[in-house]
Amino acid sequence: MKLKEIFVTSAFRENSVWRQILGICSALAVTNLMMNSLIMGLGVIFSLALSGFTISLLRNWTPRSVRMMVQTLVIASYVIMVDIFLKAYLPDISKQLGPYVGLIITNCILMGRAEAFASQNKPFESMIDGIGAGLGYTLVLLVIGFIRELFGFGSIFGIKVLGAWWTNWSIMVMAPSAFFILALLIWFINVKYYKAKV
Amino acid sequence: MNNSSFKDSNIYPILFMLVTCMFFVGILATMYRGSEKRIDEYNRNSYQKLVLDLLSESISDKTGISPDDIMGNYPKSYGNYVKESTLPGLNNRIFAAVIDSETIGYCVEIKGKGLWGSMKALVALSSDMKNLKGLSIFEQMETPGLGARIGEEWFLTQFRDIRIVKEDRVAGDYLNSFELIPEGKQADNPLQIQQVTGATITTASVTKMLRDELNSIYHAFKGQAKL
Repeated sequence: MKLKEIFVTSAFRENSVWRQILGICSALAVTNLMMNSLIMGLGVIFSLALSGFTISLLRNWTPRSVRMMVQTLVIASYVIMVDIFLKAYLPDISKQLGPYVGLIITNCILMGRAEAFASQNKPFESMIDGIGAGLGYTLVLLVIGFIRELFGFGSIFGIKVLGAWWTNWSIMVMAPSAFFILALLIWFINVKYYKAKV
Repeated sequence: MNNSSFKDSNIYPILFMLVTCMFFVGILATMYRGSEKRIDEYNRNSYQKLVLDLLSESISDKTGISPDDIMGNYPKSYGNYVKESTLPGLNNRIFAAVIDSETIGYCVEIKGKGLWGSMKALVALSSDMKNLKGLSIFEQMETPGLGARIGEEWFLTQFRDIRIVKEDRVAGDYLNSFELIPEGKQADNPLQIQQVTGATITTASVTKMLRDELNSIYHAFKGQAKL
């Protein structure tokens, strides 16, 4: 029950994007195609889960003064491991991902969860927290990606769903649309579920 | 007690960081060394396949074997038809499609600057280097979803079968310029290229790279032909 509570809290109740406003850079940058959003999300889930687990394992020995350096080192190592693994065993997927894998290192959610949760909780709980936070982030990316790809390209996951009559909205492909959609999404969720005062 | 005082000492964070760094770097180095051969092999094969794919149309015209069969026969077909070559005064990697000692086309590696970094591509050229037969961009650092779309099929097919050299007896031969048109607009002639929406600079970088590199390749080739 406690693990379920941890998962629900990090994925939804305290969602990194709409509640903590973290991971905004990548939510703006990679969401013009749903496939990009999904791949980025999977990479973040994997890195969050394993880095949370490792940072939590090391927490009792890590000196406070260098804890952030250790966290960065652990996160970067896992991300590079994913990168090497993909290059060697799944080269086609690695090619599609391009610079995304490297971008995961700079995602604020990873440092955020490491500092706020993994450095104070048990390893397995930290891993569940990481999976939850990663899934919550992926969900937001997919929602924004769905709107942007549908209106910007007339397709979903690269499959054309709107016919030849559809005129693509260029703004949806470009950065401004991500700002609008993300802001609207955060506003909507906060007003609807957190009863925030406008 | 002793343990606690050691953990409070100034040297402990340094030692801890050092050991952790060595541990993770060690794992990464081992993992990289272990997969290096595999990665290199994949890179070499995919590069050769790209060269063969770009030359397959010319090979197919000459031999009657379909491009799909030529690709299906890799690496045998690569060994049979493709020879790495050089041009005096040019550092680019050049591959020639040779059948019965006759060169029927070339594939040249070119490079240029994009918006965020360098990009590398392969171009297929006719045996007189006057026609661009195809383009494939295999390395670029453009914005994912925007500039990176220059690697998509619809963009690259625009560079097939274009007469790039304008022959002029008075002024000398020169290269035709590409003209950029909005994405989705029908091109009136082969030199009109639909640009990627939201990535004007990247698209212009591709056409600039092509013009600059093809110019030096053509003139190096022409210089050699005169000799």
